[in-house]
Amino acid sequence: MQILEKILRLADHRLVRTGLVLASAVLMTAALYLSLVWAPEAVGETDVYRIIFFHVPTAIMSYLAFFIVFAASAAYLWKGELLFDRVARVGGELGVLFCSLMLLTGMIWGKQRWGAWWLWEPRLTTALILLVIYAGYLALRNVVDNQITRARYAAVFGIIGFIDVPIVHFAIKMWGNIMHPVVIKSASDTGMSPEMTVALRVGMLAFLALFATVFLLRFRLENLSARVSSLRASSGD
Amino acid sequence: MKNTLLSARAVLMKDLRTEWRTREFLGHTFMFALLVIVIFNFAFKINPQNAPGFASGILWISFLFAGTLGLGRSFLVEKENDCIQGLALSPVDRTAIFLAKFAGNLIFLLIIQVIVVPAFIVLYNVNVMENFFMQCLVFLLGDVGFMTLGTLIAAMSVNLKAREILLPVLLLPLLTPLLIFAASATASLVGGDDPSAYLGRIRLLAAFDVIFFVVSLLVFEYIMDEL
Repeated sequence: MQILEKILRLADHRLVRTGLVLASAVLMTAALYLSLVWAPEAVGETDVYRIIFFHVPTAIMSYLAFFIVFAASAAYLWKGELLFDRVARVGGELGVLFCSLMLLTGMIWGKQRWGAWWLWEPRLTTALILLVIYAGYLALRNVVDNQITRARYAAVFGIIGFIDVPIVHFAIKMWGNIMHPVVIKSASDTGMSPEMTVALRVGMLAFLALFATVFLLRFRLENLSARVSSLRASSGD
Repeated sequence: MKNTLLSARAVLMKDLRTEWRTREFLGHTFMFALLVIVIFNFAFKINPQNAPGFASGILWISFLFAGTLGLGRSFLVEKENDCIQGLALSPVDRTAIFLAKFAGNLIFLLIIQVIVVPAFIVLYNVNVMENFFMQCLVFLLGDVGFMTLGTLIAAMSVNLKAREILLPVLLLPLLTPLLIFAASATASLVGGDDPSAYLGRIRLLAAFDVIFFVVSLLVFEYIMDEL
């Protein structure tokens, strides 16, 4: 709670916001150079493999975002503070965004590697169901006008949805054939050359910076608009 | 605990009595479920050879569709008759209302199944009930999980602007694992597979039911407060 208010106060400084945007821009440019130019060619793969440097970070960011929805939803039900609800909303939006990016990058890779845009494969299908669940979460938020009702419904759905995620994954794994490559098996066996590992790490950092920047800006906007509505309500406008 | 169950029974009996007096909705939903089964025949060009392979999918889809219709109705009748505030204000545990609505929806779906499954057997000439007790168990466990999450989402969606469409849009993705477990268990029972093929799935269904029943009971009060 206090930490969220501190973050908001920090975001009020223009310097902080510009700094974050600049940092993500620089990191993203570096990630683009490292992954598209600097990283060596992969054995048995065409250049399309380089999409992994964006695919993996977007996947991790989407799971991070969905976890934020869950944690903020639980915190909202526990404390009843609307600030948590706003965090959950921003998390849901970012989750849907990054999950779509993950699916799109994966489909582009799949088209050239598998010859098909889509396979009904466990990881792909899980990601698709996840996207539908959280798109539903955003749809639910859109149709409730009262902000307390909206916050409660969204929190309940956010919690149920997150609990469902591992079960969905497990069920689909049982049901489908595994085709999705597992490149990084462990911290010591990354299945990549050292240069590729560096490119992927910088990519992760760039997406993390992008995530933090968008999150902060969106969270700030959400709070400003809440303040405007409460001011309007109190002035009887 | 005893009070909760008694109040749940009171709400359930009220729902059953009102439905029994008109018997309208049950009849319509049954016709709908039957229609789904008939339409699948034309959509997939089903013949005696391929019918067993389609049986489980057709049945579960018709259960899901008919059940979702029933769910949409369960809180809507309260709203239409302006009874929802009365229900929310009544000095009973929130859990009792959840349990009553859950039980009502479950009974509704079970009745539909008791009529639809024999109709399916007759129309497609596939005896899906060969392993009677196990198949009943799969249906029951599938229904419990379906109606647990369904009752929760139905309570939420009754107040929404686009409730008819949002109920399935919110509910069906959450039910993906349940559909996978239940439909594959039913398919494996129809195919006369070894018990090892379906027992694991039945256990998974039971686990799904327990997890979401507990979670739904815990979070239902937050929804009920907003009704």
